[in-house]
Amino acid sequence: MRRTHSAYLYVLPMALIMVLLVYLPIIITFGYSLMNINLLRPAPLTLVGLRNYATILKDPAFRTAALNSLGITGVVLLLTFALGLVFALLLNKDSPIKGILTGVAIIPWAMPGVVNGIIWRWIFHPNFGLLNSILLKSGGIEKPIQWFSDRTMVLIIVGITVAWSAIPLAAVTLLSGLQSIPGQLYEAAEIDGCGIMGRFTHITLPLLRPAFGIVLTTTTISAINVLDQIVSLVGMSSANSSLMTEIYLRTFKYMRFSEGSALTYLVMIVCGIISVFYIRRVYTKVRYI
Amino acid sequence: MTGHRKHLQKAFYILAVAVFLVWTLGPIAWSFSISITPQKDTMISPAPFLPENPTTGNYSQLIFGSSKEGGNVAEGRMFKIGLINSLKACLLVILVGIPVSVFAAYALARLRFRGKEVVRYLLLATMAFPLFSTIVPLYKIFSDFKLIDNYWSLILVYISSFLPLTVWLLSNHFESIPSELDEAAAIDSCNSLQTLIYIHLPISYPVIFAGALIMFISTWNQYLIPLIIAPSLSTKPIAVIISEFVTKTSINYGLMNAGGLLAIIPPVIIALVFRRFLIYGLTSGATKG
Repeated sequence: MRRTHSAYLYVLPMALIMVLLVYLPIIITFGYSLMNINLLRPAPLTLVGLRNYATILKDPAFRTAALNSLGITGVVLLLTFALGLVFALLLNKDSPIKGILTGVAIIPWAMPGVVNGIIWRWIFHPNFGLLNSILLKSGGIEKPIQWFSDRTMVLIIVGITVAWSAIPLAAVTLLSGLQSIPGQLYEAAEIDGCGIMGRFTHITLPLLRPAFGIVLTTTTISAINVLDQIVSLVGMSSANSSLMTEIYLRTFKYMRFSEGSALTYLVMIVCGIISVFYIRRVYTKVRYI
Repeated sequence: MTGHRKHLQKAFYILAVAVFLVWTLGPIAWSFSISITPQKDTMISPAPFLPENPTTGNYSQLIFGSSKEGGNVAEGRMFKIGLINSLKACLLVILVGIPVSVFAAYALARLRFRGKEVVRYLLLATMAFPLFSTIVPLYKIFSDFKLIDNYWSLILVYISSFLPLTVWLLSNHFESIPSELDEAAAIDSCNSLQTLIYIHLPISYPVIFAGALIMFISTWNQYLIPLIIAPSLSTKPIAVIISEFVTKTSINYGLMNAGGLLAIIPPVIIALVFRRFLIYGLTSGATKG
């Protein structure tokens, strides 16, 4: 490997962009969170310490948003793990349609989240939604169900929508995990008289552990950080709030920059803890033999 | 394996493929069905599975912005402006973002310099940062310096959020190139820039292309960043325009779905045609150390 001072020149453009647009703003956000910036009520800037954090932690709106985000994340994780694994196994099987299936599988990932929200809005729409239409026509229900009137139901619907777009990444991550398992292991197990289920539980699942770790962390972080899909699915309101809509409303609607910043930092701490696990996973290598 | 068991396996596979296709494409197909339903028919409940009087009116209204329909000319105009704004942003992001990523990744993978590990960790750490942690101060700073609604500030913020992934992806690739190539180049008295251009780049097009595709799709799908720093039609991208269609009460259901589906065409075509590059890019960024 070469040691050269020109290395700094190569890194410079990236470093400039990252320092000016990511690292510096993150530090400023922390500064905001300790001050009293409220653009609707301008006042001389003063340091208020951790008061904004206390305000948020005591606010019932924050608790609702945090619980909603937790619920959404739970639904997303459940669906993403189950369907992500099934789809990965499906795409791993040799078949003439494998290529096109893989292409189809990543469509939900490739779409704008806004459109994802719109599409699912029309599955659950009370009057012109597909689900009510199926249920009414098959005689399962008499009157259309108002899917968005119940808080738990809204969380499940948001979870389904977010999972729909998160599953592709999970499936291809698990797929590449599956493909890195040496075929000899399966052959050896078969010779030892191990059946399909045995091979799955004793070889596939344990060796997929690092991939599961990556899926768990990336899915959790993206489920907490989702905004566009929620906005186009149920709108930006405090009734269907999540942590992200709560930050958006506080900061850009009520213009309480400091409170928004403090809430952002609280979310960041949670995501930071999760991603420590992620970084460990990325650096972990599986030993097969 | 007995014939009976083979049949059972095949039936299982077909069933799994069917579930997969219904889950992935069903919602999109239903959205398409609404998009070709005339406005007056969207009041029927329960909704028919296929429109009785299909029309391409919503699409022609968005594409040609025909004045025949009267009230919705504005949507067609906004839609086209959004498309052009998004395309422009995608091209600029790739033109600037790819060289910046290539240089940084090359230095991180092939050159020795002080602080390299710190740079690597800092890049990886950004995955845990919610977008709000940077966008709040950026909004304030950009408005103070009149940089809101400016293409360059917009695309640089985009690039700052994509760099960790693309640099990670490219540097993993550069690391996999045998060091003998560099040594041979050094004997021929190539400096580090010549080594990059003549030795590394010619064998790196697939991975650079994968990085460019991911940048295109991610830029196309941006919502939160432009919502805050690209508020007017001079820079506003398609995803934000589509989300405004949702909140407008005057707009009809079909037009909303038609707009959403037109907006997914570029990323969906990329996903289907270049799936190999995309999946390579998505998985090698996440699973290799």
